Amino acid sequence: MDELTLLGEFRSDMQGPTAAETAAARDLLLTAVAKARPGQARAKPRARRFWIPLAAGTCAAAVGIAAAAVVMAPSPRTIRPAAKPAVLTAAVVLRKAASAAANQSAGHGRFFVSESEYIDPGNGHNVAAKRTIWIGNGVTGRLVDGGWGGTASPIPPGLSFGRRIITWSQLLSLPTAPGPLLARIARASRDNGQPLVQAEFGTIVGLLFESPTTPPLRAALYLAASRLPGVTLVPAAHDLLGRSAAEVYVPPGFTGNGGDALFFDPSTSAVLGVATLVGSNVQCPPAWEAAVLAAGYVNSTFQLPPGAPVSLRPVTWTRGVAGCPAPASGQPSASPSPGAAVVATPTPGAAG
Amino acid sequence: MSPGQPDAELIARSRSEPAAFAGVFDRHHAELYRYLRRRVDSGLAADLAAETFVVAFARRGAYRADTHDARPWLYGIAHNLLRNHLRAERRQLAAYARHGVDPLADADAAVAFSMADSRADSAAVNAKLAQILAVMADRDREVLLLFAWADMSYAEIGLALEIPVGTVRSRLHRARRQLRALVSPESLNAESLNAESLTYKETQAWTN
Repeated sequence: MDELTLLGEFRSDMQGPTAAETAAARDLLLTAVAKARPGQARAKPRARRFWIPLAAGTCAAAVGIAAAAVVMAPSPRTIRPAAKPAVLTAAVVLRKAASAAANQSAGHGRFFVSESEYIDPGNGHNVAAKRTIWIGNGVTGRLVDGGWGGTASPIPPGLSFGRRIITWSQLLSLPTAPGPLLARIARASRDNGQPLVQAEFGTIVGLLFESPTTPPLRAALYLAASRLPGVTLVPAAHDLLGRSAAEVYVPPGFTGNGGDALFFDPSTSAVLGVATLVGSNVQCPPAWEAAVLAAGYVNSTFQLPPGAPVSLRPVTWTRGVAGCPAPASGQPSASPSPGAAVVATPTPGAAG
Repeated sequence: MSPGQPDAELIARSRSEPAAFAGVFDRHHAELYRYLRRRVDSGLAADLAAETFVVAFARRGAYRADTHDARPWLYGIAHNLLRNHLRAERRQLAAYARHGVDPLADADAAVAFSMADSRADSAAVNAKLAQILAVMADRDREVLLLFAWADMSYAEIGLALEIPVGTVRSRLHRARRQLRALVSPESLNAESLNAESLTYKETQAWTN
């Protein structure tokens, strides 16, 4: 054994960073990123010292010429540079949704009820079905699912949080600052079989869709999502019902195959729907997709949220391009299963 | 971020699209942390690894576009940050050599380690190794550890530390010659290696 082998084994069993340490470090970086203006960092010129006198002379001459031009200019107006057009990115629309959520008021009730319409191509269900979920605050809730043979079943109180199940009160005690929240999300999302960023995004989607999040928590969730690397905006997207929506997802090429997509209205922060993507093309049919019809707080498992439609709305889902892989079976991480711990919904238009 | 996209492209893109720099973080943070963790305690390693990327982001304008792999650049920044803690590193290595228990190890692991008779030989070798590293010149140790723990080539080490490749070669040669004493049996002088175990309380004191 040579000396380098011995050295290579020295402290070789040290652990890598914990999820919290990674999240904290990334948060620190993303804070710096958020403060930076695009184009702020310029490539450093080589041989700068040589050019300093020449550049100084040129600048002086330019300033002189510019001053003369201003003095001699016939127009009394100051000429301003054209405003740079704003670039719409996932981070921009997520931050917009966060500020919309932060200005809303909280709702109250023993149950959070969400009514949604969904398709399940992954399990061969291409015809839309309706599902209504009552999430109880410490009490048993109820699920009525038209896609499961019209079943109605009681569901235990509890909400999905990554790999964990948390109570309603635990949900409300989650941090409402995006950094600490992201650290908690990272811890809860680790080792679920997906790349971490994809798992974290799935956890965020799970908390936003069919979950009684308060407005501050919803704002923090949108901000946390905006900080995840690789989160991408689909321009001019529509949800399952054809409503215009901002769609964000983590590109499969970035973190693996498939993942969750979130549809929302940035101006109200309302979640419009979710989808589980298949393959690398976002235009391919999803494995599962849902659109929120209505949601809100009620006091019994037979009350419906305000604005709930009597019948299903027509699905205008038109995704599908050549060369798409077959939809995988199974529901998304954001989708609750009957009998399992379930999540409830912040509503289009309704405060959480 | 495309998995195959070179670091240089990501960093160049981050000049106009700052969020792209997160891809560099995702690619290198864990590895950089592990390297630092082998040199300093966990809290400091976490701080230094995080700070490295913040400094790197601020200096991304100075990144050389012809360097596809950002590791040497990142490790160079980390080394500059680490320089304020070299004295602490030497002190901890000396303590390891003196007591045979690694002050950087987790408390539970250290106790388990001290109780494992079957690893006594390994403990003695590691203590000797710590002693050699503790007395080694900082600049030689830096080159040696980048070579052995970060798997860097001479050229990459040169880039990281901003020194010529010839200097890397000579420092590495000197450091390896010191280490070679380890593999000669007579170097393992039992008297110089105080391998007595620490109590749990003492171990915790080291790790705190």
